[in-house]
Amino acid sequence: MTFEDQLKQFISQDLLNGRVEVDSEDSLLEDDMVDSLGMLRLVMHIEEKLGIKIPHEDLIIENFHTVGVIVNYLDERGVLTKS
Amino acid sequence: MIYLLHQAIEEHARIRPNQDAFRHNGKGISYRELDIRANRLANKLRALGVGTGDRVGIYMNKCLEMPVAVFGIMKAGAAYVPLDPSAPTDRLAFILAHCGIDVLISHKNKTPRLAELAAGRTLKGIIGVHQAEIAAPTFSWAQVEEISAAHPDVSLMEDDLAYIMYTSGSTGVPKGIMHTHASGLSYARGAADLYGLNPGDRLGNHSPLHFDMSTLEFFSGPLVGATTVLIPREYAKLPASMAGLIEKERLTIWYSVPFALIQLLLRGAIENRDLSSLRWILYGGESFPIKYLRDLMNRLPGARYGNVYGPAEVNQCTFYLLPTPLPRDMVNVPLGSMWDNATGRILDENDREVPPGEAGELVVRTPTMMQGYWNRPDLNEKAFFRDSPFPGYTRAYYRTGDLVLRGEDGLMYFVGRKDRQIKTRGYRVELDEIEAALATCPEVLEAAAFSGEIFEGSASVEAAVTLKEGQQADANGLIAVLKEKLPWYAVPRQVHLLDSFPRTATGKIDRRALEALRNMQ
Repeated sequence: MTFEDQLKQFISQDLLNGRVEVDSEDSLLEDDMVDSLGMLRLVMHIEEKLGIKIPHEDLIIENFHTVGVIVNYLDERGVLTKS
Repeated sequence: MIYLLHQAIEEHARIRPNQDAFRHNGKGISYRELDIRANRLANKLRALGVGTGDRVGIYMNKCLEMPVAVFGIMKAGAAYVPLDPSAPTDRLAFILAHCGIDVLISHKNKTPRLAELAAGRTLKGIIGVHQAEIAAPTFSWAQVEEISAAHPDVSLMEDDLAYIMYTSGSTGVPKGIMHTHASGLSYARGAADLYGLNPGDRLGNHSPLHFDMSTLEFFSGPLVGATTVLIPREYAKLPASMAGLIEKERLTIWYSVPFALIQLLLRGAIENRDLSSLRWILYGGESFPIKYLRDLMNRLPGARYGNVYGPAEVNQCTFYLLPTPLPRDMVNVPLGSMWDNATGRILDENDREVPPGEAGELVVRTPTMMQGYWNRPDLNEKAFFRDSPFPGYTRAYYRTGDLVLRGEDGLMYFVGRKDRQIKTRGYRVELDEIEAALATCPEVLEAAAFSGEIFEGSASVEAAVTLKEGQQADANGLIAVLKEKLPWYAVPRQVHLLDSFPRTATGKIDRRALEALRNMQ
């Protein structure tokens, strides 16, 4: 399973209680998706899985609004090769 | 003299027509433009049959049409009813039916949910969308722009309803808090005076419209001719984006629940930002863990800090200006003192004043108080404490349900709740409502909800259930059911499946023992 698929599964199962399938392009910040506490859990999940610390200044909409965007951001930081 | 909330817009459309009244995503709407667009909307609503005393729903995310909707509905003589954009359809349908709403203001990305809502009832119109798939007459904003901008001639006075806000109810259905122009304006005036608001202020609107804290930015800002900056919800979910917005928009007034400020402190990268424009940092909705409060004050030392208290039923009734720095020995931040134009009494279970220093229920009498709950005579009977100091004169006090005590310093301190209401990120959650929702699941035998894990200053909700014999269910399945019934903030983060409940000696569910389940998978 790729890290992208793992993320989708975490969001769908753990944050949304298996209610919806999450696609790479789905906006995570829409009303019915992840709330503010959920975003926090998502960030912590990524940090734990990859053993990294995401700098606070990177916790912005541009880096986190979809799974695809998150994976791109992590890829550009060169932290995805570990998983 | 301003008697009605929307008259503030009309006044500043004359005094400072080109000043931004509201801003969103880098764009503004001036007082003049807001007044004109609200007039057009009001005339459209009148044409749809909306009149004095009617209720119109606002079902929107933050956008520049939101203030047009708020003030346009008022100009039509009606009361606005803000609907949670992320509420489940069943809950929205309940509110529409309970409040008798047949006109909605919305926007395009709500089309699927609007179609569901329109299918079950007769709506006179939905404004802000123009979609064939909705079984109701729909009108786009472009169509509203073609309507006359003449000031609508409406018979209205300050005692008429201005807005109704729905909040959790303990019996499993939400209740609508009714406010008049008079109570809304009284609050707007009091807050503007207390914080010294002026036309140069830029108020950040963090709270959603259906959350009562939004009335500061929607009423007090316009009252003084200031600019309110609507903070889109996605910014509130990513602290560094929120910090960037505060800096970029040069906000001077911040008002939110503590959770938002704690996120800003812990993850907002505020050391990289110039947030010196903030002159007031106000918080309310729940208490602020003092450790984080001290840190925030150290990081943003230029602002004054205020603890704001008051249930939505009375808007705001106490205020505490925090000393900076906080005294070393301070462990509890006081609620503070009553507003100048409000009186509070602390009563025991027999409605007698408690001796000094003892805790009791705070009851409040203030012109910022609600009229009552919409169409709920049962609740209105219990919501007020009344006394008659002399014949023919009755005073009504709102029973807050909050247990407080008056300290030796004369200030009030929060002690706890009289009932089973808890707060999560400032939202009121009735544990009874969650249990009522769980009880509707056919597999569930008994259910208990409780205040769960405290994470960065805010409690989450958890629940435990036992199942009927031979029935099977899993936690995610039950949570999914609850998500269709409850607002998002009230949905338990975990539902624990138990073989049997821990019991007290009298056979009741031992809720204290349940709390030991917190954060256990």
